[in-house]
Amino acid sequence: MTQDKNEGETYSETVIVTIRSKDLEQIDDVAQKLQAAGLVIDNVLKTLGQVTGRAAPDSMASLREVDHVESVSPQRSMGVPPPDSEIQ
Amino acid sequence: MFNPDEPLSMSTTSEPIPGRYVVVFDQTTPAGPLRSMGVLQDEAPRMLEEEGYSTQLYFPRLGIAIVDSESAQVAEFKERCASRRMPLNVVPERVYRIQAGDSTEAVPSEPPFSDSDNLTWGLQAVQAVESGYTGAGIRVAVLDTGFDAAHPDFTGRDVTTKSFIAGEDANDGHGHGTHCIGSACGPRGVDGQRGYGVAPGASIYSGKVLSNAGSGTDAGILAGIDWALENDCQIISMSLGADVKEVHPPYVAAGRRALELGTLIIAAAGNNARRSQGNPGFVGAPANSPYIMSVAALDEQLQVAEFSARTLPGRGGQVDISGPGVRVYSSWPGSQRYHTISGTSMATPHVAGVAALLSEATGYRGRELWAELVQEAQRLEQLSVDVGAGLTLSPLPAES
Repeated sequence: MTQDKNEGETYSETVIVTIRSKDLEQIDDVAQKLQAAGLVIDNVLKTLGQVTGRAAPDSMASLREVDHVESVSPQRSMGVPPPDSEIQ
Repeated sequence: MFNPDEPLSMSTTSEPIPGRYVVVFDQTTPAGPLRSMGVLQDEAPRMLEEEGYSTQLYFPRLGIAIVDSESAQVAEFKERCASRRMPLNVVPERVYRIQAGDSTEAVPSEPPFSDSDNLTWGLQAVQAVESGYTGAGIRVAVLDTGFDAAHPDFTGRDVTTKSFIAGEDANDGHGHGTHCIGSACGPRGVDGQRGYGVAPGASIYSGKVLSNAGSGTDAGILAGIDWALENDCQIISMSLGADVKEVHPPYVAAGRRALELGTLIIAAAGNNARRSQGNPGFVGAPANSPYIMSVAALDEQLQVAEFSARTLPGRGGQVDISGPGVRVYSSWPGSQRYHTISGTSMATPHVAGVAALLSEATGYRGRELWAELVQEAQRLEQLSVDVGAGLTLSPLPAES
């Protein structure tokens, strides 16, 4: 486990958009609206109900306002220590 | 031949009452709750009456009757009911007294544990071999640094791999993933080596969400979770995290969605404690999400490990359960083949392996599987903020 670090680019950062669980069937519609609101989509996770992509920091608020969106979170990094470390 | 007078195999301070039996209509296996209700309310009392037993002490919601009977008759009754697809358990009714003095109930194995020629200490502690279950028919996803699928100990195993790291295939160029998969799903016996895997019958789904350098991002990890859900994995083991106290919303949603679909996500509590220096640490993300089970590490004495993180105040931040996580021997990629390391990362796949055995034994998934893991854990005389429900334990063998 390592300290969290964000590796966002300066002009955009990777975000995780979570769709409300009861509105999962509309995920394709929601993805289109997110795109219109400034999200460059990398992946639509249909089972999980999440859309990952990149957006400029000043478009976060408009992403949050899209219908059926539960949350918009900047991406975090996670990890494990190097292979030769005793505690992993 | 069934003998209803045979004593129960657990120790007790009670004595059987001659000629009185407790009859339990066992509706745990077949057909669903509606049939069970009908059976217990109508069929069961009718069977008792036909046998000449009183139904005065029949409890339909429990499906339990107390009857006066000769032992031979009650044994015949059991056979008759079994032949009509109404399995019974029959035990003598007992008189109970307050226990005096020490309980003599035997715990099958005791700390301190140590690796034997045949088994790691972790496998002994969770009583994997004794359970008889292997995780057959259960799909376990391990989201980590990938897997050395060419490892000789996994020849012939049902293995599915996928990489979510751009520019890297699903192979494990780190070691962490192969080690975790070994503890969860590796063999219990290897020629000339210790067995180290809790659930050797489980199907392995290795999602590479951490790079060969050991790092990954939400986008890859969530894509890995989505993949495991698509593949209907009962269990997702995630020995990864960030040492941050804030609950990270995407994992709250992911954990909840997974439970809705019958999948339990199990994650490492974190290694940020330095207990000997007075720093108990805290459960990091994603283990601090409310719908993700968080695992602490125990040493061979079943004491919380020096590095194992303590419960973070707030919803979801608790340590839920513990597993063996100090000096853990397991598989490693390439010619090295084996490695011994420590961490809540190593404790987590032990719990995931036990979850596979429990799921096979009970059919439980999702929230029920979570409850079963907690229910079956061995309580420890330590703070619950450090060890949660205690040491994860494998299910007892099926009755023959």
